[in-house]
Amino acid sequence: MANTYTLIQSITVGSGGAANMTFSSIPSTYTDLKIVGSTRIVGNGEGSNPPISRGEITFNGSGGTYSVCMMYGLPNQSPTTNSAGGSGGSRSFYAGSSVGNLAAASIFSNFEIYIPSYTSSLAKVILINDVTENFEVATTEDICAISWSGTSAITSIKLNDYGNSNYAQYSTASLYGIKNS
Amino acid sequence: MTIAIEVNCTTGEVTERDLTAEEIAQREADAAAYAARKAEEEAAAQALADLKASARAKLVAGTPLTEEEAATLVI
Repeated sequence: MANTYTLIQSITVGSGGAANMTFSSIPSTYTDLKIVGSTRIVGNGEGSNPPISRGEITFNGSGGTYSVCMMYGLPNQSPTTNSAGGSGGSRSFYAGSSVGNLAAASIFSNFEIYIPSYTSSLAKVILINDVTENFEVATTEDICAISWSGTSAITSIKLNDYGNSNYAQYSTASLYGIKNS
Repeated sequence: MTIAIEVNCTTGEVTERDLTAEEIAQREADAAAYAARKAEEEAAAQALADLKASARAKLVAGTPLTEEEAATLVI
């Protein structure tokens, strides 16, 4: 794994916050892509229980349709399933979420976004999972599958908060390239 | 001013720029859509909870359930 798992680029948000984080001009030399992120927003998001705010992802600037199936749950509760999709402002997903402003200071979410065969000429399937928490209170585990109808290679990926709050300072996302040989 | 951060994965160049007027307008529209969607989801969740409570109460009281109430109890 180590020889084929390469950090392409990393973004860390500075003191002024940021509306979004974009990886552009992604080389087509890998087999799969993976983003590892840890984010917090400057906004209340969904509220305090859980202190979560949905993420949004956009490939190649615009275009295509996103079909989303997600499952999420709070401790000691049955998981909830939901689906979302379409285009424009309906690409929300719980997986890949940020911790909201109502969580204690210094708490950030953790998420992974896996994009197999990102240069394929077929629609892409994306897997996401994350954890958000607030000092072990209102912890959520979220998993999500997205199908994006785009048939060109993914060359840019934009991450932002679905409610359009800014990412807080020290939010970070790292893009890795994975080769199959 | 709100900024966007972009890293060019080929050159490594990092660009931090202010959002354009168009991006700000889109952001505001998206935020409004998000608020509307969230309100819809909350209303739907409350309606389901109300339906389940009604079904539960009728079961305890031994009164007939509506089709809609029964559907909340039968998987």
